[in-house]
Amino acid sequence: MGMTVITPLLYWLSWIFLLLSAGFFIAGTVGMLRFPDIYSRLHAVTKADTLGLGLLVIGLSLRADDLYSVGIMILIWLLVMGSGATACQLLARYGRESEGDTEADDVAS
Amino acid sequence: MTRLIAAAHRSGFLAWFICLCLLWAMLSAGQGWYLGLPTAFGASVLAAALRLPAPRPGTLLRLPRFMVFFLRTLWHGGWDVARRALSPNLPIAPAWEKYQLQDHYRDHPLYPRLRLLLSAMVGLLPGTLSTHYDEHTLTLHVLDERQDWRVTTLNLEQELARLLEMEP
Repeated sequence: MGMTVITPLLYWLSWIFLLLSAGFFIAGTVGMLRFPDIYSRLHAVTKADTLGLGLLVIGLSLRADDLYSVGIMILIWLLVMGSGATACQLLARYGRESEGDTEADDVAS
Repeated sequence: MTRLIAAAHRSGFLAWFICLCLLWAMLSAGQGWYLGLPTAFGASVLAAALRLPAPRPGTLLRLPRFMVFFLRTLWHGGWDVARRALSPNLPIAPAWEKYQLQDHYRDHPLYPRLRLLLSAMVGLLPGTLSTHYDEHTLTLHVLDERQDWRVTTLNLEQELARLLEMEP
């Protein structure tokens, strides 16, 4: 099968995705350092890092040996995305509650 | 024994347990069941106790369409926030907003799940982040109030409703 042969084209294509991925991780980190408050920072970390990990998975899939490892990587990405989205929401909610916002109080009930 | 299995099926426990065992089998290449089985069992008991609707095969069939939509918005979301973070003048205008869910899903039994998924996933869309929700309203933090965040959120709500077969 041609599947197992890593052609030079796929190899270079994968580099493009890996570099793009690194770019988004860096942008997410820069956002976390530059944005003014906890909520804006969460925007940066959640979105940029989820996309960065997705691009990393694509890049690594292009040089994977078999479809099984591609499936595993996609699965891991989905799980990280799910836990990331949930954790982000919980942190944001915690932020609201610890600010003593009255509106946020009815969530706890 | 038959009655026990029937009860497990009704509560959704069985469907969760099978799905989670499959997930473990894939992730661990079929190893470490001494850890995987109790974890899958515990998670399934929890899912049944919380009355989470069991995963349905039909959802899997509609998943590709949803994923295309979702990956597209995820790309926009990541690109948008990366651009703002790296831009020298930091073009953001954070604000708190309310998003009202659409009326016609309210009576559907899957409405709580729609609300939960929307609240969790809206954080991956361009410029929105949900902090909490009450009965029909999400409280959102938007990164730039001049952005058209309401349309994006509405689109996600409709796509989720289609995924969960809630369309009237």
